[in-house]
Amino acid sequence: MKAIVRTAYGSPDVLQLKEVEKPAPNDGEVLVKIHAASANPVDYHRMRGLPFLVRLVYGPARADGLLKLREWRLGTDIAGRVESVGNNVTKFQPKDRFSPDKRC
Amino acid sequence: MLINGASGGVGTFAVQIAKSFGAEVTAVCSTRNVDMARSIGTDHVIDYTQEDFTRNGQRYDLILAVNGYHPILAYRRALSPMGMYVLAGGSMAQIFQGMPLGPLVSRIGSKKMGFMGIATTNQKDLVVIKELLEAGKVAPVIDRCYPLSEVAEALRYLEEGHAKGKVVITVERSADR
Ligand SMILES: NC(=O)c1ccc[n+]([C@@H]2O[C@H](COP(=O)([O-])OP(=O)(O)OC[C@H]3O[C@@H](n4cnc5c(N)ncnc54)[C@H](OP(=O)(O)O)[C@@H]3O)[C@@H](O)[C@H]2O)c1
Repeated sequence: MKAIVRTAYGSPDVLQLKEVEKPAPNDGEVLVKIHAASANPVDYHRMRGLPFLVRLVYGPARADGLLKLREWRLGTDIAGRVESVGNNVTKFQPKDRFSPDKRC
Repeated sequence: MLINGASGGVGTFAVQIAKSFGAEVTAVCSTRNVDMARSIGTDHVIDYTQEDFTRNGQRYDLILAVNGYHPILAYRRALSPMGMYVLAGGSMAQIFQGMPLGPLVSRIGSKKMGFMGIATTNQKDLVVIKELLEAGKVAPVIDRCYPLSEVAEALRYLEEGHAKGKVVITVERSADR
């Protein structure tokens, strides 16, 4: 699957479109195929690591990769459909329409 | 109530949700967004390039501070005696004043001021929003859509701070949609 990834804080130039491995849902998780997402100010704060407080939450990250960002993908709200579910998931099944906040 | 910064992603939803609860809503935005603010149901629109709502003598029971900046005491002046000020966002000055000073200022008199915290979602609230969307009482205002490959462009645009509603990222369509 495709993802926008980054390895450092910085301007929008740090963002790269990459092919990454599709994750499998763990126990209690669902895998959602995203149809649309929204851009939020929190995304550019996390992208730039500004204000500096952001780095306390997500890690210091240096360009040389010595200190890794805890969260290397951006994104907040999504809308899509459930693709597969992990063990112990009873409320959702594949094809369900799904629109949580990523942290939900 | 008054929403300062009613024309962006948060504001366009806040206006419609407040209207659905029966509030009389004043939207603060710039000239280019006045018509859009009216079209989503606001009762009154104040163009911040023409008028400073903290100095026009009006008082509000609820102020939601989403964008821009006003000193916390100016917001306080615009509150009715039992009024409440909820800080959601805006310039760094607005956030770093409202967060620590809100609780202090609230100790004097009956006006309450403070930061809402970082929004969290729960199923109960999402169901309310879903029903508002289905009933057509809330409709997203979409400014621009960018494909996944242009997320950098989307964030560059959003960072300019003048989005008109939401900026959306779309992901390649597939057959099972
Ligand atoms: N507390 C939380 O959990 C939470 C959650 C989401 C967002 N936020 C914060 O809330 C803020 C707004 O988010 P958003 O998604 O709505 O951002 P946004 O979509 O980027 O906001 C853009 C809008 O802000 C307006 N604006 C710019 N300067 C203004 C000013 N001086 N006075 C009034 N309006 C002004 C612009 O209108 P003009 O072009 O007409 O100037 C534009 O329509 C951000 O600071 C964000 O970090 C907080």
